[in-house]
Amino acid sequence: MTFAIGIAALLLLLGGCKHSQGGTTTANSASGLPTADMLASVPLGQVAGEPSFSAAALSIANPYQGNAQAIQQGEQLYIKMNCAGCHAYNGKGNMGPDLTDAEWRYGGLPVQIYKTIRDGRPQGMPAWGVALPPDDIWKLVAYIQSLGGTVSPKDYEHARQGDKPGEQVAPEAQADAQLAPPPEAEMSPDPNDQPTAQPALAPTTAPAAHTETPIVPKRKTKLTEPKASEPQP
Amino acid sequence: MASTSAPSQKSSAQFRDTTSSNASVHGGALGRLLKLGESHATFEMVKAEKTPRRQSRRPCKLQRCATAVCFSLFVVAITPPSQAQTPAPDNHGNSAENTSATGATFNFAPNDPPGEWRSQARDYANTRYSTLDQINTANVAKLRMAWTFSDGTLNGHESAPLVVDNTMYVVTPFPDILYALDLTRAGEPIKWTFKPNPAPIANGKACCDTVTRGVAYANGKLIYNLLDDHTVAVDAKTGKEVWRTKMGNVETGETMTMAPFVVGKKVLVGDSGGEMGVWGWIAALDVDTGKELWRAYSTGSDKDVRIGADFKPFYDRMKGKDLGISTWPAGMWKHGAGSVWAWISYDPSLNLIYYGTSNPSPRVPDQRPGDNLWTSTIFARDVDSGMARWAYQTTPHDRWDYDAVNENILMDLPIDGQSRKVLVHFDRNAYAYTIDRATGEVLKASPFAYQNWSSGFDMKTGTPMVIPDKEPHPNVKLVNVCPPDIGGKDWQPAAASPRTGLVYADIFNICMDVTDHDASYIPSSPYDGMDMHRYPAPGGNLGEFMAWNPATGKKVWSIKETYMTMSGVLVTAGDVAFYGTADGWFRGVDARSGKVLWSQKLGSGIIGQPMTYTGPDHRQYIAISAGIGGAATVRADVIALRPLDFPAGGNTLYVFSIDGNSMSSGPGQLTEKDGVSNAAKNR
Repeated sequence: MTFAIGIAALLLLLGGCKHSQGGTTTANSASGLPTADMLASVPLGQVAGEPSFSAAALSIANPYQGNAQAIQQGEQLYIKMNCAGCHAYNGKGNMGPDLTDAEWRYGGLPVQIYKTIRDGRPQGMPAWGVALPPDDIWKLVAYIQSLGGTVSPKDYEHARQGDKPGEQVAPEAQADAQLAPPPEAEMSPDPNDQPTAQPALAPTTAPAAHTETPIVPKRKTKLTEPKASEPQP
Repeated sequence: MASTSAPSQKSSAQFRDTTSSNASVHGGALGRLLKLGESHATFEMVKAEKTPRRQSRRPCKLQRCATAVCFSLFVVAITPPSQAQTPAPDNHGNSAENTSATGATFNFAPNDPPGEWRSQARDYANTRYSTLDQINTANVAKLRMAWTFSDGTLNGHESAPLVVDNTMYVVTPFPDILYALDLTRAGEPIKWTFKPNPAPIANGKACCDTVTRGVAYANGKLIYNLLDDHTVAVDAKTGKEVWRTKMGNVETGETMTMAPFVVGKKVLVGDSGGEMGVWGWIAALDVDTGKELWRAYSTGSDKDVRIGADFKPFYDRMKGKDLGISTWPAGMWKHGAGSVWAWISYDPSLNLIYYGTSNPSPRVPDQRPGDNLWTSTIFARDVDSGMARWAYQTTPHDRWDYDAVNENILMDLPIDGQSRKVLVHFDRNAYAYTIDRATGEVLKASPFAYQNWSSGFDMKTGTPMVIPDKEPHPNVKLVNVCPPDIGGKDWQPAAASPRTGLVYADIFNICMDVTDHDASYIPSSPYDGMDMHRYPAPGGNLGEFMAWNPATGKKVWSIKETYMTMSGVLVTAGDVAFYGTADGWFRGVDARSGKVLWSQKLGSGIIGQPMTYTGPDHRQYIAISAGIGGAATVRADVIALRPLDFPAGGNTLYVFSIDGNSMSSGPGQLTEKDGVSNAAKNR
């Protein structure tokens, strides 16, 4: 924590140097949280006239990153504040985007995620800056970071310029796919062939009393395993 | 192509007429011969399985032809099949000499021209049945691609295109762009494009993808709902906006995804947002002006719900004053959902509309003790006044997200020797209901899909009996509840054929583990609390296409599919039923035997609705949009059920014809002159 505060103080200096003009410095170093002024220095995209991203902005860290207690509190907030309703309880998204990957519409740096939560975004994300104090929002960011996605400051420039290697998605799913039973109605690829597969003609029995054992699909892959976000009963 | 569609109280005469004209235009003697032979064979199969009716009156037509009665058979050949055997069909367009397993008859009002498709369900009764029979069991295997159209969007495509006056209308998911395609010209070029510019915020408020379930045509206008809670009417000729009515505030989490339903001068629309804590409603607008005529909420006081003196629910549980308030903890009805996001049907003889309401909000039952009326409820309302005539709650105090929004197919059905005016409804709760549509009495209720949340159905109270072990409670992981939140069947509409008397539906075979979390009501955010993980039910298949007997409440046959089956269904007078799968197979099935006669893999998964129309070249076409999305993929755990051979998204309309013949395909370079392609002229 002291280390984080030290970093924050250093960043305050850097940010202050660069953006002091007209800015109101609301240093909050007592809490160790990045100040509003520092946050204001973080652009979403390129900075006109500059070849690269602001180094100061790049270095703003989440003081709660990796803090187990804060992450747990962040998870509680994630459920209580209905974040899960849009982004799913495992963070993999449904109404809202997946939070466990490196694909971020409004920037995947911790500080950019903070600003997204605080300010809201035009495609449905509400602004939580009124309902939640900065401390809670940083804990939410810590929880999201714990899901394994987001973009670390040291990777950010490369990520922005597309230097990251491509990825093969779930290679084991391909093998598992072959285990899936063929549909009964499956036909020969040649549509001129007479179909041989027959659907069941017998009336179906009332599907009431069956085994209570859940059938876990064989093609389930590591990608589908519950993440850290899986709620603890 | 006839273009009048005066709403009619009687379907019968027009139904016969349209069938006749259809047959006279398209009916080839040879094709009919083949068809009769085929239908005889399949009849025998059905007979062996189910109800043997009048089999002695059906000698082999081919044998007859071989004798001296070829001429009379030729006459038979150019008359519709319903009249082929018996010249005195009943007055519902259904031959007395048919092989219907149930004897169901239908009112096909408003009797739209047979070659057109003017509403999502095609008729008030929601049959999705077409009298076209150029494509039939004998030749459906020869279906080939005729032409395609990409609408440029990636989210799920859940609607059927419309065809009116040789123009096809295709609407995209958000941003809800409407295209008019000129069917009279080679290449089916775009006549106009209408961009409604809905609010981007709607993207993040729709629970189950940014879908629309389609457009309705009425009085020269195309009417549809935008995701951001506006209903718009567009001039069909010019593509210009005629009116726009704001129906809600998207920032509250309310959206609109259903297709409007038009009855005469009224257009009926409703909202979506069962997971957002909305106050659900249905409203009637004036077709010509968009002015709101009435609005009925799904919760609240009797006044809000438009319940008056003539409200006569069949079951005692639904009788009483202001039940839309008293069956909730104080004040919770105000954001208790009951949204109206799917289908509406209409009975002209009773002047009643039928529709269902969504699950209650939040999806955590322990937060809202009580029956939570009128959520998960089927309503019958007078279309003119909006006043409720009866209501029937399918799932009291819903604990699993079992909406009652699925379609209600109207038919007259002999049950236990008595003809009953019924509606047939496949509920999310996995029960198939046959309900007296005049009174709301449940006549048949039996599971059509795998379920383990109820131990049976209490016919006395009209309620499934809940197994207490399958009730979720907050912060406790409950394993293996079936069906899951999306039900034994979701919104994807079934079809019904007067020729077979059966109903055809895409259904699910899925279970879930569920953990409830207390939800906070915070406007702008979801009001939900349901954490679920879905997986296949016993059998391992996720999907199934079935034929259902609504008179007996039994499945007749079914086809199991590895992936989800979440498309609409089309059934035709050619006795072919069409459906699609989430992994992109589009299939044509013998409506009597369930034999798959034709399949085609499309570019994306199918959650659209198949339709059929007659082109200006007098050919019958079958159209379907591919473009996976919607609830089939919106949740990560469902996506996780997809191995890598599951298609990606991307919306394309596919149009098929026999041998792929059309003005837009064939040898050589197709060039257009005077509105007709040279290739078409040369053919």
